[in-house]
Amino acid sequence: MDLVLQSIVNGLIQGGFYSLFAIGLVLIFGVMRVVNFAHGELVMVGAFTIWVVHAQFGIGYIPAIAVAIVLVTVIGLLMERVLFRPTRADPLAGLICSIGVLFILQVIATLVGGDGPSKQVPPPYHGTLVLFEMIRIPYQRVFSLVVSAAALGGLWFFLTRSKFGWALRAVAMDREVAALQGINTNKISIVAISVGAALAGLAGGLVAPLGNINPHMGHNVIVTAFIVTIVGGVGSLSGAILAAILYAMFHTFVTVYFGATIATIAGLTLMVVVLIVKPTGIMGVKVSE
Amino acid sequence: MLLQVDNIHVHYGPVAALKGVSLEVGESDFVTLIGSNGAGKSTTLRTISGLNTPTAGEIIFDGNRIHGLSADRILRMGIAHVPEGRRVFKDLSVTENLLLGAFTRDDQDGIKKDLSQVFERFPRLLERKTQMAGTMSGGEQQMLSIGRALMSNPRVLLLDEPSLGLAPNIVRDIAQILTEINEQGVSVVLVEQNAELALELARHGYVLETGNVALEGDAKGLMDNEHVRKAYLGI
Repeated sequence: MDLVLQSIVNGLIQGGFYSLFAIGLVLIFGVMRVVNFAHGELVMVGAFTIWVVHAQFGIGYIPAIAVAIVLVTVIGLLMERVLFRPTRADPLAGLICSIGVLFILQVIATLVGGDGPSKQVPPPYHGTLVLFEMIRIPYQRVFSLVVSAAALGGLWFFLTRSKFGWALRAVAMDREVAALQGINTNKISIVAISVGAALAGLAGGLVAPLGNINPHMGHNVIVTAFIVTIVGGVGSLSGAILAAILYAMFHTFVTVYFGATIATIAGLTLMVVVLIVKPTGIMGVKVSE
Repeated sequence: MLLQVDNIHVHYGPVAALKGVSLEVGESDFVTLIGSNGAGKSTTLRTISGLNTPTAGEIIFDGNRIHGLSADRILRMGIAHVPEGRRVFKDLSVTENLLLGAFTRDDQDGIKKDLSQVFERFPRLLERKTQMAGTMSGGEQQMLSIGRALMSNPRVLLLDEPSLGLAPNIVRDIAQILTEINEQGVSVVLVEQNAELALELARHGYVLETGNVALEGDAKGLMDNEHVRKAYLGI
């Protein structure tokens, strides 16, 4: 029983973290119709920034997260302006460009950090929160959960309550008709990639003290993001959050009982099954042309 | 002349969709473009509203050249486009769709006034104001699409096939509303396959055939024209 409750809590924390980068992928795809293969590398750059700024230069963890967010957002903005905007007429070109960015960022990270063993960042928050004398959550993970939830809540508020948020959703639904309402779709693309990249930078900042940091860590991120987006329904923001939490639960439980490798295989199998049985995902919207 | 389209050419890749289309729309005018599928009616509207860019020719609106400007800037200048197939934002509510139509405006009082005016004009939309637009009938979605365009407070309203797939009584309602909108001073450019309805409503008509203006003139005159009667009115 303890293990089940503990796994649910762990899954929830993991789910919040998955949501951060999965929702960025969905936002960028929704608004720009580009599958950003480099999204995992944006998270990696965020984590690397924490290693450099916090672990090497000794600047505080929170300011280091801010630096990571700003740096990754700038990379995202450059990608939009230099790669995605000029190739908009051809979605395949944008996708291939993003794969190019993936390799470039990996090489830069290797140049910065060397290709030795994975880096570790000592957790800035120590101690463990004990709930009901049986669920144990390290404060570092409590911090991760609170920040993820706050970021997602803020995003939700922005998308549903602000005029710009409506405009963003309108562009994701129908870019042409959004332009006919006077919405500057280039501006919205900039907002979408900024938000998506900032969340990826934040995710990198949160994961840095919790795992291994290396130039190839983006691989797991993008696989997870794809599973979550497809299970949740491509183009559905609420679907992505729901799927992120469900998938994290699933992954945590399979890991606890069968091991991490089996969990990843099971996750990919789940994605394939969803693609065959319900290609629109659990909350999918049809992608209109 | 409020809107002047002068000899525009539009290409989709190597294919010429418009080969020199000219037309004029005056203040509070009601103009219709009729013609068969693929004649270039939709392309003409899309080029005026900035969704397509002409490869040659000029579009002048209120003394300014607007061809080559982006669609959002053209909307800001006062040309609203009700696209073919209605294309409402399906996952947003009726009210949210209408407020997006007023995206460029900051005058909260004016927006409120226009919103209640749209609800007055389309009582069905008021009944369904919190409903998701995608769950409504075709006729209701068409009303929403027109209402959304009106929310930008346009001087020219472009409509692409508003009667398509709708029941005759709904088509009548929409025709009535277009006449009212026009009487309140908005210039209307109506693209229709239903040539009879279009010529009945409009003052001036253009007949498009394979990317050219084949005929133009007074709407009543076109209705009596032998070629129009044979080819488009089925008489």
